[in-house]
Amino acid sequence: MQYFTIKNAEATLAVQGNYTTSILKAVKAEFKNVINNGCIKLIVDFSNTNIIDSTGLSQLCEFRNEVHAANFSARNAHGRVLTVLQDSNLDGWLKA
Amino acid sequence: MNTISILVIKQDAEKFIESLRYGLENKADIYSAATGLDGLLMCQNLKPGIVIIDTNLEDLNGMTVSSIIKDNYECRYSLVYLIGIDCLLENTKADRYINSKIPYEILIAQIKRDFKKISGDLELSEEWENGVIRQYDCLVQDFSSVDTGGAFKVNRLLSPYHHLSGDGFFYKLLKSDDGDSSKDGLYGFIFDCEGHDLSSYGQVAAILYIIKAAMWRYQSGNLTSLNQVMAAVNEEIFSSYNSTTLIPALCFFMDINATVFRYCSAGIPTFLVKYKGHHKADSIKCRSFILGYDQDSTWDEKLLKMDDVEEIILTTDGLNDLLREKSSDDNTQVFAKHDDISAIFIKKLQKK
Repeated sequence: MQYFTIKNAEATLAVQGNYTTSILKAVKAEFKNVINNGCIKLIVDFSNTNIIDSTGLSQLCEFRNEVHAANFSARNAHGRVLTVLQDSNLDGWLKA
Repeated sequence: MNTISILVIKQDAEKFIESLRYGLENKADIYSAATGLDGLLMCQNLKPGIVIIDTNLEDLNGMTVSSIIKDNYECRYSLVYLIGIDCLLENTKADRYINSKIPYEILIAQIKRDFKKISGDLELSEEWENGVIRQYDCLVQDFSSVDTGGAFKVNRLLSPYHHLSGDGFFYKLLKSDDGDSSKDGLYGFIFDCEGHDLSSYGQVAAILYIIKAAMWRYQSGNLTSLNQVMAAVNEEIFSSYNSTTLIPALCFFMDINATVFRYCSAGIPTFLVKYKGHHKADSIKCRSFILGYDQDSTWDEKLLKMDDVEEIILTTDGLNDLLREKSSDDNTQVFAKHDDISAIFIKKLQKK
């Protein structure tokens, strides 16, 4: 898998570069596999993500609904990604 | 789709043909001739969709070859490119004239566009075409100063990414029936559905109706604030859609004299305000939850006094992202990113 790594029942999503429309389909396909593998918790690691647009955010909201809010978190947002999360009031996802 | 043939009349054309083949994703039959005479004969036999002729040929001037082809009745449907031009001879005939300094990648981009057009790749399906017509048919019109009694004017911009937009907006001047003139003014909203195709366009129509209904409840006094409007819309979205449906939106009311602008954003991160005497517009941040994110979200109505305001520009994220990108320190733009672009411009007028 290119975007997800799995450890026990916890998956980490890490997108390198731009989290925009062009990769949504591939990320969604991997996410389905992740869920089918029994993962119930999702962490989004933004360390290497430079840009996220509305379609990327939308997809994360969808994943959050799927795993339930309590099992969803994000970390290491910086630069433009952090700005977008703050603007959308979604920086509450971020955990240290 | 018919296979379109392309004839390249050029010396040492191998590299150019290789780039062209790559640019057209191997969808064209590409032939080549190294001399003008061979090219003329091949063109007559092949009747190619596109002919590309270099001016610098061994036996004939490329401009002459191009003109002969344009005069040939049997080749009348061929689109003729004349490339490598430094100066133009009188009576030269071609369809596209390309200067020698134009890089190959730009030339190939133009050929690609023509190739798609000829092969029918750019034609829209009937369903799509109808959607496009309907989209513009339903589009709210600009308001001139005459329409608004001289206090302000309103313009709108809609530029869909690929013919159909996932953005929606609406505004209307309303006067109250009960004689309460404080309710007279401009009511409106702007929102953004995900995607830009037939399904997102369909969703735009549904969301437009939902927000309109809530705004009329606000105008009639049934809802007393714009945050209640957003809460009502959010509730309707959750009851109408099973899957995650996120709709960034902003609704507003401006009184008829343009003295106060009330707004409530639900996920539209910023809008622009141009103040009198300021060269650049200020960005007003509207940190708020997107409609459809959480059933229990709440929003705040905000108020902007219009005393020193010259113009308000409300946009969806298509334009917002671009403005943000342009103003950021990181200017490493590698492609011409664009999305649905839509905006409402409310310009306050100076009373004479």
